[in-house]
Amino acid sequence: MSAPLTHTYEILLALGVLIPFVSFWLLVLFGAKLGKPASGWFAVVLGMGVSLVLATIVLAGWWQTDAGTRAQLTEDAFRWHWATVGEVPVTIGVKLDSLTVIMFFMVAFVAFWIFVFSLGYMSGHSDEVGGKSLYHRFFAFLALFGFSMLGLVASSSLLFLFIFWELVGLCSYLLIGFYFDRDYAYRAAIKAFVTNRVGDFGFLLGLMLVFFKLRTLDLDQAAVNFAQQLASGTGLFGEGITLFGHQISGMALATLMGIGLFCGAMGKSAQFPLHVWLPDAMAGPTPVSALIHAATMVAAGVYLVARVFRLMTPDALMFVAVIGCLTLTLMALVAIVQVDIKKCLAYSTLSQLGYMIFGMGCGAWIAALFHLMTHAFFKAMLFLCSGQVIEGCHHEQDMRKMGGLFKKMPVTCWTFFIGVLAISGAGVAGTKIGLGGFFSKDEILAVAYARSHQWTSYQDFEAGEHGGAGAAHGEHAVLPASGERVVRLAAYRQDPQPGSTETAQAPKSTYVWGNDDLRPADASAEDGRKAADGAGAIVHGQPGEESHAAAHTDDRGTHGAGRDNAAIFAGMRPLPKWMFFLALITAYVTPFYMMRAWWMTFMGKPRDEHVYHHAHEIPLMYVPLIVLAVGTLFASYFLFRPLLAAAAPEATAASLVLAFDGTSHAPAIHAAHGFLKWGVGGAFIVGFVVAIVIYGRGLGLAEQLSRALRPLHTLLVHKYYFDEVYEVVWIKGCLLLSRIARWIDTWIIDFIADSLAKLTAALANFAGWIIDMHGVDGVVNGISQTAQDIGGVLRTPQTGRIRNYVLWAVAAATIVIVCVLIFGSESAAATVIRPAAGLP
Amino acid sequence: MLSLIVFLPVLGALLCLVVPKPHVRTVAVLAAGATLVVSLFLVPTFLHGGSNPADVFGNGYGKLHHVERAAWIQGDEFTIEYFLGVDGVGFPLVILTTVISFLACLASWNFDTWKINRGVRAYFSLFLLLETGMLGVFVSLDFFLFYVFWEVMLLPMYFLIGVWGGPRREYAAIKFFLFTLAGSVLMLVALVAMYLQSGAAIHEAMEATSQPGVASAYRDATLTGGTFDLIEMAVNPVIQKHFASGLTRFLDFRFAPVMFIFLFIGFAIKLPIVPLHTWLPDAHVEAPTPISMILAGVLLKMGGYGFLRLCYPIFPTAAKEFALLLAVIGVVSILYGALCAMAQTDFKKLVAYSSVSHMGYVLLGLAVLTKSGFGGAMFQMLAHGVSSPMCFFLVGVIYERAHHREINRFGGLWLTMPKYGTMATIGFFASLGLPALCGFIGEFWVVMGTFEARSMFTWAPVAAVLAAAGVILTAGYILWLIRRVYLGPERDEYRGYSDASAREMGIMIPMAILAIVMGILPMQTVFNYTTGTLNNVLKHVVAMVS
Repeated sequence: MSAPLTHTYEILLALGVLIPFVSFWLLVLFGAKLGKPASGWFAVVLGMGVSLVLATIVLAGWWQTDAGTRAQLTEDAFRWHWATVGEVPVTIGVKLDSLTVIMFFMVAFVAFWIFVFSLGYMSGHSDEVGGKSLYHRFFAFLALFGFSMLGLVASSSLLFLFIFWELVGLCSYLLIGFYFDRDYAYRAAIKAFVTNRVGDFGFLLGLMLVFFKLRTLDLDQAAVNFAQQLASGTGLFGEGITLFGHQISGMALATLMGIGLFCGAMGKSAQFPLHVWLPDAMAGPTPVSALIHAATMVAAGVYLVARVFRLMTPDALMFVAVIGCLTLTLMALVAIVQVDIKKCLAYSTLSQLGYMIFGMGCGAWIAALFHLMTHAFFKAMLFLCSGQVIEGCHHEQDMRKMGGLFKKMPVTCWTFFIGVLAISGAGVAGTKIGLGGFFSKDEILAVAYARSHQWTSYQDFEAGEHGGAGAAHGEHAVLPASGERVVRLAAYRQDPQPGSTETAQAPKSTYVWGNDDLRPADASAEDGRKAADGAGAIVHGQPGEESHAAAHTDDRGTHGAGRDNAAIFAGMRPLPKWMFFLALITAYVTPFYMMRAWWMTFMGKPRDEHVYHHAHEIPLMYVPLIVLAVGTLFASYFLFRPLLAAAAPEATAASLVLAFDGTSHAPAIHAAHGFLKWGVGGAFIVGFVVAIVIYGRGLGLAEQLSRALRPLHTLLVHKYYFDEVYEVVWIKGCLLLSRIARWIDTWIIDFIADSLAKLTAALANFAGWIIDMHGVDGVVNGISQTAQDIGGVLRTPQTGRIRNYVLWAVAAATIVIVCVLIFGSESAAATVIRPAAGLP
Repeated sequence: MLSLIVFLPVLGALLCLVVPKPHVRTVAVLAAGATLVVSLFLVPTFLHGGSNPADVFGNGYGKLHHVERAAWIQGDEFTIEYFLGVDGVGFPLVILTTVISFLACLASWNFDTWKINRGVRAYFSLFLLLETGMLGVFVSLDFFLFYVFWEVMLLPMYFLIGVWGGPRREYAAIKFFLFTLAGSVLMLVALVAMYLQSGAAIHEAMEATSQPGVASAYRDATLTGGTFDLIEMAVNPVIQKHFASGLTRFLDFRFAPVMFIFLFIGFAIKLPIVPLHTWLPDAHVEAPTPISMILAGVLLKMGGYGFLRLCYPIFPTAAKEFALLLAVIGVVSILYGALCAMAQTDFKKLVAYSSVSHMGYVLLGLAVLTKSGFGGAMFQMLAHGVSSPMCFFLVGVIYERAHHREINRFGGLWLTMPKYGTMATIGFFASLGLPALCGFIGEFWVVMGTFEARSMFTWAPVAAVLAAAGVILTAGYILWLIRRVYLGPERDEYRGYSDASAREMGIMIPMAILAIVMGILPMQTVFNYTTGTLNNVLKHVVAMVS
């Protein structure tokens, strides 16, 4: 690529980040003068429109660039030295790679249309807080959010990722609490911020380990150092987890680091058990729910895991998978019983985020991000639809009062329906016909199936025919998710129980393929204390420059790469089967609750005449709906899947774990699909049918069912009592502790201080009396009198006692000094004072 | 230059005593403003080394600028010098002092409307005298002179709280005075003992080598007896060896640890640390707003400055010995301060306790003896020096209107006073440690530095994790505060309150800008000036320890 392009894309992306920031300040300063709706249009055009144009230019250009040039551009990207933490320089720049380009575009695109939607949403009285219009403030916050989110996606440094991460959290706080005159809104805002901070605390721990062991905060450099430490068995892999110098776990520090970083994702992506804030966050205006709490910010957690995939160990990813699996299941069940249209969507978002995280944990890097993209479109659209409904029905959110709205809101009804189809994974099994969710969710499930059921086959297959791996990342490797799959391998294993027979057989070699940065490891560097015993790594190169035959060492003397793989595989744990089944069952639950929501809202007979009477649609609001619906219908599969497949090799190169994509020849995989094709592909029909059977004739049957299943229903309605438990344990606990602290302050520390003061005063009075008697205090009196004259212009504080305090202090000091002279420094006294004073 | 900066306020104070009463505040503001302007002339010296930030202060501790040195009190055996100079530790604090003093002076502009509004001359001249005391502490490098300024600062503060304060002002003022005085007494002991022991060291060396004196370690001079020179005590190997020696005793205890503890207590009371902090909430609650700003913005920094100027360079071995103790105190201060803040219902008291929590990071950062820990501690001092005066001023603004500070009685102020609400959001989020605002940098650096100390101290990761957990508590109490005061529906009793006036905005906006700029460009605003000196201090400490 010609030289002028070297920094072009970075500059465009950086401008795309900074322009919303500038417009934020302009809105803060002049927004009130611009007024309504000018400030809104200002935000739409300058706050996000320009960024979207820039993002589109970059995406188009990037798409036409060949892989080699892309790699070059990534490498040449500019880094600005921001500060130095101790000895570790922190740089900031644009992480220019396919993942960033795609995410940047997705965020800008969805955000732009939601900004447009907001114009409509805020045009009525929705911008009023306590009777005052805060129109420009709303759009200022949106612009700030645009800046933070785009910055998060573009950041090249983990520290800046964290900074933008927190800024995004701030925007979320400000926007959830936009209607801050309402109790529930600011409660929700605080809950969101503090819960996120709990996650960020984990993130910070992860950063500490990155900082301490990898000695860099740059994403790329961290990955390189990580691979090096793995290869040499030092640093993060050189020790287990210690507390006060004692080892408390054999788990490698690397795993702890991975889990720490993931904790941040748990907060932002609202994963169990930090999910509690997201449903409450629906207190914000609906465009905010769509933008922040469905499409972009909550997906940032998934993006983070994707970004630090190269810093994840299999054990850490297993943790990720477990959390994701629990979230997707538990939250889907809660979604069934929700009656508030936004809450229902919120729980469905939680469940879908669970799918993404679960996918990441399984190693389905592409599929998880693919799901993120498709979800961003259809969920943003679903929320906007709900916003349209809510605005149209005069802020009625209870679906039990709706029904029959399809006549009044046809566009909303059918775009919502497209969203329902997409989230349910509707499509024709065995073909490439389907909506986004059909491919992305199916692919996650397929990978989970492979990891849980076909693991041995993979291991055997890869052992024999490992050669096909590299092609997986080429751009041609784009196959339908329900087609063939391959496991691309880079495996790492670490046995947590040294001494077991398995350990003895575990490979003790390090494999380094096609990467000049890495030197073959010295196999003799094994250390008895090492927890990372049996570590192995495969680091592969870029597509098109596969060089499997590069240097590798092997302490067992075998040189067949396939054999080595088999050995590494042998140690990798399969995914527990229950996790796959939970994910599969939930795939049936999703269509059910979505169809339920749609039916209750739009179909059937109107259940509340008042609501029905008012229902209407606003063009400014349904244009974005149509755009997003078109996006959901077409763009997702044809655009995102190939883009992500291209992004995968760059972003997961040198990762230690499995990244699945699309081109295995393993027979076992074919077998898997025979089952999955129908098992998953038809799920949406089952779910729809059940929903229509139950809700088709009003709410009667549903109520009967809920009575029949009373205990379960109650548990779900109360969301497993998480809020109640947290309230007691954390909030009350903290308050109790704080009261104890205040008590200690008042009754112990201050009591001691006051008593000492009283004692001193008494002594001082005594001393003052003696000295007074001897009449030596003229001078002191004089001084204090002068002091009193200055202050005593007005009132004399504590008349007379000051003098005594000063006096006592001087006396005490004198005594101590005399002590020093006599006992303290014998030599000094001997050499300096006594001769000076003429003493012997 | 430094003399001018230090004594300009005194000039102003004298003028305040003679000009007609209505002009007193003008004179005071002009004096504080002139001091600020003159102090800004120091900046070019430090920008000069900007191309290579680490070398701003050259190599080795004791690389000073704008040195002014003259014999002040000449005794037979000792010389007390008038010795001023700034390095990377003193310089930013001087600027902070002049900036905050100027803003606090502006905040005193409406003195006439105060509840206690008599004695305008006394108020402003004491205020300016206080500024001289503070500036003197940050620039004087002779221990005796340092001590004098330390005490000079004490008395005006006592009167400013005790005369113009709230209902319990006498109690608060006495408490402040006594706590600080207790520390001063210990410092005085250390002053004398250190002087005597440095003399002993020099004499021993002279006897051993039969030379007429000992060469100074950093300047062209010869020592023939004890010294009060703070730099000399730190860098002169003869004195250092004697101080660190186990044979050097103070009342049967090893000299270095005892001196370290004496000085530490003296400075820690100012910082303040738990459990020597209880003077702070009382002093803050009773002090008038500008004085609270000074107290939080500058006075607390004297503690941290004292550690960096005296404790660490002069007694490095003791610093390592007590690392665990200091870190524990630091962590306890962070968490305990945050918990106490959470339990407060008085607006000002809450902000005061948050200071205790924030200054805990300073102590922790120093305790762990790492570069990022030191850098973070220094940054935290400056960041807190910007954010906490802002928070106190925010309290003051509403107190002037509502005449109470009961958090639970407020609500909806963001609707009533939108400009003020916006400023409050910036101020409190800076205090909360939100990234991109100043509070974050110091905490992050300290936490990282603490974790990094793992190679030296096995307990370091635990301290780092606990300190990091502090951010959750901080978020909790600050957001809860914001919710109770600024959010919620508008209340009738506050309806019709005027929004922040131009003067009030003029005071808050500079602090808000500083908070944002320091958070976004920490290197250009702070680290470029401080890193060189801090690294030299640390290098010196580490060299002496090993």
